[in-house]
Amino acid sequence: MAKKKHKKLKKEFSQGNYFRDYYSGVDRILFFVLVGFFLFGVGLSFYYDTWKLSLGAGLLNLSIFFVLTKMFRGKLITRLVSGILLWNFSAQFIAQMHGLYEMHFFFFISCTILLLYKDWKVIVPITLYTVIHHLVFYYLNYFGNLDNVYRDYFVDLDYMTISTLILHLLIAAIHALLCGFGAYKLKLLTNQELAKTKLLDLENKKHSKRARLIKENINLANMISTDSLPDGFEPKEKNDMTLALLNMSDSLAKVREKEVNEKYVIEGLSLVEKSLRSNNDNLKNLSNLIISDIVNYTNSVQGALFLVEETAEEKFLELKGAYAYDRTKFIDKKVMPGEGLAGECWLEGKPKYMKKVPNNYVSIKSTLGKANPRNIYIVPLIYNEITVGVMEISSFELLDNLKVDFINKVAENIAASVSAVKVNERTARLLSESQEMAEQMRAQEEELRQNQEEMMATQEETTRQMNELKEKYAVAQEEIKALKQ
Amino acid sequence: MVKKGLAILFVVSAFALIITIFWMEEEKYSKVTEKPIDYKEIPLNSIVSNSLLVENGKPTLIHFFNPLCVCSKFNYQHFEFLTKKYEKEVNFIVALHLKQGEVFDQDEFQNDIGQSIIVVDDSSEELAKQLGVYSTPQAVIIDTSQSIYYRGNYNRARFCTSKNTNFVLLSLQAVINGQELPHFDNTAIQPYGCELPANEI
Repeated sequence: MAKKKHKKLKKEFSQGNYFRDYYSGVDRILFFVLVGFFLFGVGLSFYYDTWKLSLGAGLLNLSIFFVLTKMFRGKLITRLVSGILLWNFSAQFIAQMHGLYEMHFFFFISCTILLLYKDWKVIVPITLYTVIHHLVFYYLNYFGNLDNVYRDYFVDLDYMTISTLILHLLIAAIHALLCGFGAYKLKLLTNQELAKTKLLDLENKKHSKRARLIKENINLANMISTDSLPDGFEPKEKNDMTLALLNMSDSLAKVREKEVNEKYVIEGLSLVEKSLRSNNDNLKNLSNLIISDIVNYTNSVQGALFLVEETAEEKFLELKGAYAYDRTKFIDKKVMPGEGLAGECWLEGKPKYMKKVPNNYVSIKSTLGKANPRNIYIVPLIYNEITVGVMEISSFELLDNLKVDFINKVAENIAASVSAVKVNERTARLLSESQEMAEQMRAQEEELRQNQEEMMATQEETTRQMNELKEKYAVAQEEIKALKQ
Repeated sequence: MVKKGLAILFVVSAFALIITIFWMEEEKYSKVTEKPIDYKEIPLNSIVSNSLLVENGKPTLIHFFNPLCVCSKFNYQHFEFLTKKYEKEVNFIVALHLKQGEVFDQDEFQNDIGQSIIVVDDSSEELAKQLGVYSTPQAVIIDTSQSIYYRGNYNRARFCTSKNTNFVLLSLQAVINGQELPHFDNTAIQPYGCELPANEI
């Protein structure tokens, strides 16, 4: 995988901007080199007045390169022709010095200069051009029977054997080959270096990115720790750490929200509990107080608390407590099972939430003020599976889950308290009844006792009378017996 | 596209022009020197009488030299070589041919070449005409009998690079040794090089 990536990068570099820019740069250097060659040719002109060659041919060579660099800067054609131009200058020097052998060394100088391009292809045209130049002039001088007229364009030797020429060209070719190989290796090394640099760059970028992410994550963690994370915060880039931190933040927010919710519910329950404790012997007062507490605590606008009342004949809901209701009208309101929202809720034993009810509907059913609340939450007060009442809370805004949850919980507490109050009331009533009954019994007992005493007195009288009678009877008997006797 | 075409056309034309310059340069020096209209042929072995020629039993080499002539310039090293080599055996005379108005320090030239060599200004072509010379560089060897032994080029190659055709060197060797002039082909006798400044149009 890495090897493939390396190859890809290498390809990218070999065809990329780097070498185009590099070749352009070397073109610029070559221009100065050619200017140097031109000046050298001008210098040589002082020897044998070869001004036409140095200025004419030299300037033409320069202008060719100038035009090429203007039109094809950094292109292969410029590189290839630059080699030919270098040999043009070398041939010019040879001619200027009338075949001076040493001028041939400019081939080596030229090839070495061309190494700058790091392109083996550049060595090819100059080598071919030089070989052709040598072969042509060798032929013209030594085979052409032209009386050595071109000798000063080639070499100042009286005669050159073919083996000398071959050796001459062979040495040049070896140098050209070495330069070509050198150029190839240089390009290869450059490519490798570039690939390494690119990989290093990528690594550096990765490191920088990693460092940036770490910094961002630290900032994120700090924001989470100080609870200053903006709502809907979106990280520039998501990574595992960021996601983990955001998850942690979410969890913390949930915990915090839970705590706040719990606190809200607990504080609300506590508030209502306090009211419940303070007035648990009077259901009406208690109901008014707690419905007021609940409406205020939930930022609602109206509330009503109905409790189930029953007589021997019927069961009904009776409005015991209200907040912002028209008390005069509804203070003694009775709601029969299934009647209205409260009646329905009582029957169903489940909370009812009427959201965005029509304005007039709420007005009629709930008889609210001028600005009628649009949302009504009605919850049954159930304790031990017995509905002891119904609570109705009305609000302008929708009650959120937290408030609904609070109302549900407080409804349970109210139901329990109401049950307790009712039990208390019943107990008190029973106690009173039993006391009354005991009193009555005591009175009856007293009466009985008096009766008994009277009866005992009567009985004693009777007994005494009977005894008297018995005595009288015995006396009589005795008298009778006595009489009889 | 048109621009590229023009650029290629320019490059090709420039190359052609360079080749032309080389060809012209070659042509310039390939031509034999034209004979002046009033040239009077002086055959070899003609007896020469001139006050510059001293009779001291040595042959005399008269070097016709034009400092502005490229061929003369190039040939000059070879001439110096000959003066050193045959300093004792040969009398040397340099016949200067200067262009009209040309600034040339003859004294400095004399000092450089050495006092033993006679330097004369032959811009009037007196000596040249007497010896039948109409170009530079040219050499005339006068043997001890005051006759023209050799007159011609120094070398087949105009710039004296051909060892086998060092005509003057070979002639000097022959004249010193009392030998007959070796047989040279036309490349020795037919003058190449620059016209004498006085003959330039």
